Amino acid sequence: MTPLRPTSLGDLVSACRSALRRRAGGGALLVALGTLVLVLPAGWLLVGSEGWRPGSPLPLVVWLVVIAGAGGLALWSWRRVSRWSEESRIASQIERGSSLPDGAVRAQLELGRGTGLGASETLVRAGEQALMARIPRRVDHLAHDGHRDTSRLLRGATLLVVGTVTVAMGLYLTTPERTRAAWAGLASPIGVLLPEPLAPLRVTPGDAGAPRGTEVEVEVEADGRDRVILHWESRGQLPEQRTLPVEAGTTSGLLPPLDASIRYWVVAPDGARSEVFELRPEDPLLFSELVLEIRFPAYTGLPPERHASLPASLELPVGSTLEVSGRIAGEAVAVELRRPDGGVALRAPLEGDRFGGEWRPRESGEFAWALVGEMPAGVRLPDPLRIDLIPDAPPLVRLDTDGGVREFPPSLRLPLRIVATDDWGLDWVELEVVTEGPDGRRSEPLRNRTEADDRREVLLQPSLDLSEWGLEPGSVVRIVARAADRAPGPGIGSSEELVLTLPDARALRGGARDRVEEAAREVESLAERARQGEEELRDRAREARASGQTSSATGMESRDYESREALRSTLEEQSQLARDVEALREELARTRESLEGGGLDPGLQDRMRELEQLLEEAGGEEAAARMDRLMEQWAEGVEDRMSEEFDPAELAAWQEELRDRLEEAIERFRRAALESAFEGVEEEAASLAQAQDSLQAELEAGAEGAAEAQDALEAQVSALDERLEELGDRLREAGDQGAAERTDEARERLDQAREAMREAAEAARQGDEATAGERGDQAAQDAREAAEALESARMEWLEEWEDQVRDALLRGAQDALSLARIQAELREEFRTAGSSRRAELLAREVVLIESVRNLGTFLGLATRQAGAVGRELSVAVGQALAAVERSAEGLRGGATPRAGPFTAAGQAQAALNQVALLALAGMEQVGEPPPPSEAQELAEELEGLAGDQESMNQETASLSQDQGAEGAAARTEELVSAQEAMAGALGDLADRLGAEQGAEDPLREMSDEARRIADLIAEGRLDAEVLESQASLLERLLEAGRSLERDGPTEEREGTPAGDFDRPEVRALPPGLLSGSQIPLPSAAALERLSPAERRLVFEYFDRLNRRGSDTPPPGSEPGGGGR
Amino acid sequence: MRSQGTRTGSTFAPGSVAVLVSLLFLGLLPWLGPPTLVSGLVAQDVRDGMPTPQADAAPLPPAEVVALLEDADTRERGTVELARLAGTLPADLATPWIQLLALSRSVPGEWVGPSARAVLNSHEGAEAEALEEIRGLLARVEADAQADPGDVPPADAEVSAPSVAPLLALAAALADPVDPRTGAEIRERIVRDWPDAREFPEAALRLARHLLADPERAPGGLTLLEELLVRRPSHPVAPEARRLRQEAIGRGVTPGDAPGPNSPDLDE
Repeated sequence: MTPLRPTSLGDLVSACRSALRRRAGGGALLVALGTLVLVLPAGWLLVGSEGWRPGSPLPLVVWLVVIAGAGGLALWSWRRVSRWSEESRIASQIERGSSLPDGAVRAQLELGRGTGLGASETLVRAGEQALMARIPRRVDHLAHDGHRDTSRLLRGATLLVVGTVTVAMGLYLTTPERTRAAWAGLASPIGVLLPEPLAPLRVTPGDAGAPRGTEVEVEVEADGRDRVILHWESRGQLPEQRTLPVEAGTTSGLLPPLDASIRYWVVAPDGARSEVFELRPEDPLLFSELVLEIRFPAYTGLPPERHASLPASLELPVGSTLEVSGRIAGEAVAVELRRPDGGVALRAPLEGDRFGGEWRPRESGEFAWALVGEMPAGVRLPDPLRIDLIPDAPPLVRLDTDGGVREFPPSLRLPLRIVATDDWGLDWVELEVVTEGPDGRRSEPLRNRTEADDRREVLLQPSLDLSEWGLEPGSVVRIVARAADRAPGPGIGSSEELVLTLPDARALRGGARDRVEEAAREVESLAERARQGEEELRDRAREARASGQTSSATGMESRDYESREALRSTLEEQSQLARDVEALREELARTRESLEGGGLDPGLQDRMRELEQLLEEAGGEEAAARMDRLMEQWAEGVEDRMSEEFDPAELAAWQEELRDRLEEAIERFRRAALESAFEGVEEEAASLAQAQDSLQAELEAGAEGAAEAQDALEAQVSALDERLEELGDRLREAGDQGAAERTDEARERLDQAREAMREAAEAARQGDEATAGERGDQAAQDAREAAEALESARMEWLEEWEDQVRDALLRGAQDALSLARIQAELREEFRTAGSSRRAELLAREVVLIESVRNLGTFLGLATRQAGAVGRELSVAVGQALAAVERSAEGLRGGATPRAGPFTAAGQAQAALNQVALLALAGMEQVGEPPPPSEAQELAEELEGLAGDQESMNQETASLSQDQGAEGAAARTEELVSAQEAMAGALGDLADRLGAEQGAEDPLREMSDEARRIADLIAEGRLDAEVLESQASLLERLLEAGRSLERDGPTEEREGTPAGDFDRPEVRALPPGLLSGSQIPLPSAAALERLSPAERRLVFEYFDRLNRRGSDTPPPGSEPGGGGR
Repeated sequence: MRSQGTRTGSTFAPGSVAVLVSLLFLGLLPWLGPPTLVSGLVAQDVRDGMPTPQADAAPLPPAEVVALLEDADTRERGTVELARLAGTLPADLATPWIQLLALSRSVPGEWVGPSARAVLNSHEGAEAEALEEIRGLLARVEADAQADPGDVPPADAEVSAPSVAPLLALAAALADPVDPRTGAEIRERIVRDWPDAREFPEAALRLARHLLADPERAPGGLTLLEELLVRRPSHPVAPEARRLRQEAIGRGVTPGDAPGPNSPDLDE
């Protein structure tokens, strides 16, 4: 204890108190600690040799007691100390320890807390100082009693702690296992109190049968227990039990010999109890060497099964056959299997002691064994045989379109998806298509069957192409898929009927127009890609030149890897570009053919045909073929040996040509797209006007739903207005301000129509039919005017364009004539000039070459949108240019001007004249439809002949009833002449088409028929046979004309079988494929042999395949297992 | 084959190489002629209901063609026959007829007949009569225009009144064999009064060439060439104009006053 230096008596007392409290606190802590440590030996005492019993509360109680004790002792110690530390007691002890008079310190303390009235502070302090001087310095001597008591406390507590720790350590060292067990329980008293439930008892064999007299061993699984008690009882016997020790969680015990049924059960010390089981004594079976053979029906494809024992139950496909054979113990007549109704299902006669029989179950049920004869003793019959027959399920078929669409696209090509599954295997899968015209008439079903080769799951993805079926717009196509299995019957499953509609005429046209607009954008994109490809190839050429790599007769100097790869990449891209050009052309052709099938919009068809022609001339197909050839050669590694083919400069030049042609096509496409857009809005406006007219009656009558219908029309007007706005913007961009303004005028009209519609709808909702009708009428009027305004705007726009083209052609013609005159003058100079003037004339001829090129450029630009005219002019200008170049070449080569150059100049002059003539002729062709094709002309001619024949038929019918009338003879003669003339006309037609005499030709046959009819009429026969012959001839003429014009269906329709579907090889899908497993990619070596583009295709294909595995429907039914 | 008269600068003598070459041209012309041209013409005739000339029938003689063109009722058919005729003539002879065909597309119908007559005269060797015919037509046209300007407002007169530039160009072409100076004068009118016409470039070129041949007037010719190149830099005759200009500059000619157009510059 440190010496105290209090400055006052109060401080002294406080210091004493603090000292005492510190000592006491330490003592209390030690007491508590010592008490707590007591829990260890206490636990050791209470745990016993077997450890804590699960559920025992003792550890918890020990803790509670110890904690309470520790707490109680600590509290007592603290209270005792508190008593010692009272000021009065401390003051008394200070007085006694300092030999001061009683109360001196206390009095001084009182004075120190406050002096009374009249008391001197100085005196008080003096008194305190005097007392302080007499008090010793060590506080511990001052609070003697407290110090003594706290010392005792500390000593005792220390002894307690040391003692308990020593005991605990001693216990641990002497009995470590018991100590650990005790302390483990003390560490988790709650765990001891509430142990985890033990696993239930598991007893085998449970309920069972055993041969009579055997001793059955019962096995028990009793995790967490050290013993269990096996109880059993038998009829007529006292219950018995036996305790079985459990080792490693299991134990077993024998029951007495099984002479009668024994009931047994197991109980564990923790109270767990098993069920009560029964062991039954069993006599031996009557049958021995039993063999059961199951033969499955052929459609299952399952091999026979052989069983050496009788199963309790069997699940068999319908048609299965059972063959049973064996031996019995004893003698009998036969062994039978009896149906539930008692009838005999199987009778197997005995031969000696052996029996055998065959049976085809025809119904499910439980079939009991029976013995015909005396049943021997000590044996038993087998348990009844449960048979479940599984009927063959018909195949499940699902049919859908790719994407779930229900309407054919304008291309009339639609991919389908057929999934067929069967429990045992499919024989074939079939697709049936029936078409239904707008008049409801149905065609004969067309079917296409695919063999399934016994596969259980088949996926077919045919593509249905109706583009050449000649269906009318609005027709309906009904498709059903069927599948048959191999079962006797067979089972045939059908999909739900898929009903698809062909787009109506308007939709077809709209789709075709949209396609034209898309094509315009695509062509621009294609031209841009061609330009990029050209640039890249030129870059490759520049790099090659810069690096000194040259092409030589022996092959290219080797490029570095990067250059080669870059070149190959460019070639691949351009190859794809060429294919895309061709694909676009084919797409346009299909769309156009869909219009032809409906006989729709010849103008739009012509426009599309022209666009196809432009794409064909761009040379997409040729370019694609060339690129494919180059890629094949590259794959073979021959690019180094074929320098010319792979020279980037050469390829760039060729690519430039493709780009030029595509760019030439762009203007025409843009024009066609604008024209299509114009037609589209015009048609839409007309349709709206018509719809408004149709709605008029309902508005006036106040019909229900009229307001809603009016609202719907108003919404369509709004949509049309947006399209018109877009069209106006496009016209302004194209520089057609006039047309754009007229479009705006039409929009104003439409706006008025929309306003009137709104008012009409509002009036209709309010029940004001008069106003609704009046406003509706106004709306129809405004819509009609808008449609008319659009039509006139389009016509003016077309005329303006045509005028521009004609003007350009006229100017081109005059320019060509100017050049022709210049050439003529030059040619005259060639005639008289000698070799001395060759240079001068050559210079002038070269200038003329440039002039002709300028002419070509001008005509090309001017006629970009003029289609066929532009192409013809381009050819003619090319010929002129070639002639002028020949002339110049002749001069350059040293020829005398009056010789070869003179001739070539004459050809050039003639060619330039031809350009002028073509341009002038082209002025007439601009805006006109292309001349009819030969087929169209022939169709028109046949139509004319059909009209004549019809007249003759009517005349014949009339004459046949008025044969004796006046003038009949003359009329008959005229009729004969006309019929003969018909025969002659048909014969001429046949000759014109090159049909040989006597050859089977429809026209010649019709000609012969007409002549035969004429002969009959000439003989005076005007009977039913002649009339019928004439009618038949008329029908053939009409049919021939329609087949050329594709003018729609006829009465007697000759269906065209559908073409081959795109039928992939039907192979069995690997097991587990459709359950989500992944199909592995081809090996790296195989992939390495492919180009990057091909590798990308492969990756995409496998990715789709693996993703699609999760979409495939599960099988319709689980296949019936074999004998179970 | 018709007999061919003598033309300035060209002589056809029976048995000469030129005749053989001309015969060769005649044989080649069907090859050069476009099938589509004929089919286009056939389509034309089917449309207007006129008797359809067979594609393989011989063209009408020039005189008959002109007769058709002179009659308003048959003028359309005459145009068709004119195209067929022009497509079968030798190159030297065909050019005026083709020019006539072009003219028929851009002038009123009543001008076509006299123009055709003029071309026929030239074709038959009567160049002087041809020039007189065309000048007579020009005089009548201009007199009619002055006598009756019509209801066209002055502001629109230039746009609506048919251009006589084609007639002037034809007249100049017909005048060249007779009197080149007359041809130049006519072309001067085109250059001055019709700078925006299609005929302007060739007229300017030939006029410039004529001027350049005269040392005193050469500067004007050079200026005119430059005017042509500024107005129509990409025109088919522009390379020839550049060549003439270079040639003139090489001879030391400098630009001077030239018969320029009256209207402001207009880009091509």
